[in-house]
Amino acid sequence: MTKLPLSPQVFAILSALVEERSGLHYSLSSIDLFAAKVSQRASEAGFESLLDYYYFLRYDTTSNEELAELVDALVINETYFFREADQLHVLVNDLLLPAVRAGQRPRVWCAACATGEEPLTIAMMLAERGILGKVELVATDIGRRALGKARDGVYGARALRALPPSARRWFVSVGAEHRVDADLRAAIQWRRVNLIKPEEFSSLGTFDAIVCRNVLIYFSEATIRRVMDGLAASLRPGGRFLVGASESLLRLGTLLRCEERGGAFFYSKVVDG
Amino acid sequence: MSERRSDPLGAASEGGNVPFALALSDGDRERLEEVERLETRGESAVGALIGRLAEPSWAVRRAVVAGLARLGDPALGPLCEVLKAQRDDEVRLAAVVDALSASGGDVEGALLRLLGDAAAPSAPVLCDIAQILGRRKSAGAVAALAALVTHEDDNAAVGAIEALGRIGGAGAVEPLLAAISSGRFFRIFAAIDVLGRSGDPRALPPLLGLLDDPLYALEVVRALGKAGEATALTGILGRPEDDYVRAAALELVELHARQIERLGVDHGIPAALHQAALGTDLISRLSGVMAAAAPAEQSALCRILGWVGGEAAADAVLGLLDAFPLVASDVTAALTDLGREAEPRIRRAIREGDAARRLLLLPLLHARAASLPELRLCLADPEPEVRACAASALGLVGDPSVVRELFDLLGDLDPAVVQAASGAIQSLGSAQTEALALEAARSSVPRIRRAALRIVSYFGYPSGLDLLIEAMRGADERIRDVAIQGLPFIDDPRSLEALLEAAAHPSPSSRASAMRALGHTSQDEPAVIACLSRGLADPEAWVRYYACQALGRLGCVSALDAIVTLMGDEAGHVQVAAVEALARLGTEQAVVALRRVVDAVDPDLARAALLGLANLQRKDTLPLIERAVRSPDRATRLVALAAAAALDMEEVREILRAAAADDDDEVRAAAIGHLAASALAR
Repeated sequence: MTKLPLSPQVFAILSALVEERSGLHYSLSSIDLFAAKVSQRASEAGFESLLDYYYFLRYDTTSNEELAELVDALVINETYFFREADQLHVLVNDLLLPAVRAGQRPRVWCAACATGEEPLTIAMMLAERGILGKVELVATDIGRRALGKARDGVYGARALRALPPSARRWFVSVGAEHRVDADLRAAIQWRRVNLIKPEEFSSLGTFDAIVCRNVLIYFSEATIRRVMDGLAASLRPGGRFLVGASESLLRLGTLLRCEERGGAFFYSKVVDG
Repeated sequence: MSERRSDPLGAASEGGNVPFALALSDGDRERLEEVERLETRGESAVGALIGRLAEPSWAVRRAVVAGLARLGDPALGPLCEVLKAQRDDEVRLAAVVDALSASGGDVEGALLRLLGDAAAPSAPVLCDIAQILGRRKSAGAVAALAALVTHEDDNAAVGAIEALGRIGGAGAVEPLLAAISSGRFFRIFAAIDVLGRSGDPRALPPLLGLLDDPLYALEVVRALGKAGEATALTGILGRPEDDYVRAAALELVELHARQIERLGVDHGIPAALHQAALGTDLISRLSGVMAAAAPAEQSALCRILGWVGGEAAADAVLGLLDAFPLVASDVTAALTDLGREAEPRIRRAIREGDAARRLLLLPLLHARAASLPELRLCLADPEPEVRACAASALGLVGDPSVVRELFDLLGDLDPAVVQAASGAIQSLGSAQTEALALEAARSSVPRIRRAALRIVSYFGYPSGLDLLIEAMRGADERIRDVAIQGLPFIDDPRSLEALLEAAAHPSPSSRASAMRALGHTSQDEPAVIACLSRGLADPEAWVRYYACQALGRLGCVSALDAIVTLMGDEAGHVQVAAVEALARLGTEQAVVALRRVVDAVDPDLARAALLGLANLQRKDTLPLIERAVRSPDRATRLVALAAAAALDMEEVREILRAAAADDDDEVRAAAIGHLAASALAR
């Protein structure tokens, strides 16, 4: 599609505004991708200049809705079922299952769930072990469209590319579309949350496990620290925090201690005393 | 104190301080300061510092090591004593090794004397000595290390082998070749790695000789990779052992990447692979080992197939898309390498594939008429992204016969598809476009009508004026606004009349669109200026915004006073529009007004004023720019650099040079870019 011109200066102010409001960080190396996505939104909103569009977002009191649409367009929803599944297996088998057997009702939060493949994968694993109803699953994302898709539970083949044969039974396929079992979808509480605004998720309560994988890579270092402060506060003492295989929190000096189980890495919240 | 020599650890920093970015406890900080005080006492502090080598705090221990290293010769004897005789604490021992490795003293002399002692050091001590000499790259110790390679203790021998590897040079290779022939596993293994890194051609025959030994073969493959032996690795691709083939593929791809990174060229690896594949079953061999390959190996095998080239390779690569979906991006890279040879296969895969397949492969299709059938097919794909991609590609192919199908897409429910189709129509032109556009502009479907009106405006069809005017007078606001914005591009006096009519529309959005559109007309029209001037007082902020913008664009100095007044508008964006308009007008009065807001609290106002002043080539802007380049706000620094670059002054180069050391990557890149551009201009 035709991109509207985007100078480095306008990119700097637009990307700073996006980051201020959503946490999403775009560096100059991503200017083309940013320009393409923003151009589409700006054109759709009736603007021919990205500088005009920026002023609209910055100054116009009615721009919140458009900003939400822009964030929806900018969020990269690259995920699929059973992505980095080993870690989720350890979460379910080594952490959640023992807690359930001990009579607890553990709470798990998938922060930044995008189109829902990750929490639904966890739901499948829990269902396989007969404990779906005994674990509380909360899934949140900043993108309204992504959450809508998650709630609908309809996916294309690409989302199922790593699906093990045993998980096929959770889908009903019609042509090129594959719908997730309704019970699995209903077992998850879907919410819209911006991770850079702790006030939006403090009401969710505290959790035994928070899954926040392949999300922090889209934030700047300063935003990561801010987000982690909020997420760590939402984690119960002894709770576990999961990040993606290529991510590390060791440099942050947080209250979270890195541990390894079954080849998967977790961060556990240090128990006081 | 001895002159400081190379500091392989990087442990000796300015003033002996450990960087305070580390989180230090109060206790650590005190002990650190104590170490620093000890060091100032020079030689007399050696004993005290030695006593602190087992410090539990890593940060304090680093300082002790650095201090002893800086003390040089006076510390050597005590350090060697600890190395020899106080070996009960691993932490202390590691610190001693570090201190000796970084020492400014004659460590080689001290250690060689130790080696030559009548009471020969134990094997663990020999290992440490070898390590130190290796880290110091002590060329003078090669002979002594060569002797150690044949020591009866494997650990000592391996330590010597690794040290020789670090030291390098022709003299270090001979003992390593001897180690290869020693028949002793640990020595051979270590020597393989070191010889690989040496890059010495004498290493090749003995390494190749080990390929038939499964104990060493994979290590040999890796060593060949490090040695850059592309020919040898290519030969391994044809071997019957699957794991050797996978390992060789990985090494070849990494070697290729290193060559590109260092030299910008690949020394013919793809060409050599292509040659090697001729008349062989290499393609099926490579495909056959994919199933058990790790992800990195699969990626490498894909790339290799791409380099092998040919239609059979294209078939093999495409076959991998279904079998190994996780290497999809490597498949597309391989297909790109295959170039035109792959295109018939790519087109077939697009024809027969699903949306996911098409999305991956469409960007690989070259803009050629041969691709038309597949692109046309994709216009009807259920996935909007595929349709949009195909529409954009059709715009590049340049065949106007597809214009009608593109017009059919103007009714697509996905805005990205509509935009892509519109863009393609605009690129292609054609004899049919005008008639199709006019027909679509009469559509009862709003989104079709909007897109069509934009196309009418783009081409400036006079025959479309009546439709634009009709749309402008219609009830649909979005259609109305599109029509208004298209009017200036129709060369007919009635289009201006219509714009002026729209400027008085009850809808604020339409008035704003009219103001914006009037900025594309001419300032020679008094009616235009009068209309825009009235717009400056409109109750709707966006009307004032675009009126301001238009007056600036038209260079209407008569509106200056009214624009200056708008710098105090209640709406922030109107203030900015006023600043930008003043910058375009450029009179002295405008400049005075701009200078007033250069230090505005609102960063967008300040930036707009700074850039405006610079574009007016106001040399008194320089101090303002210098200040703005030091702003804590990155965007302000970037705009300041753009402002600096706009000033044609020698002094600007100093500002840009200073900014080239900014902490922020993007600011640095911008400064360097502006410097380069100014150099080219000269």
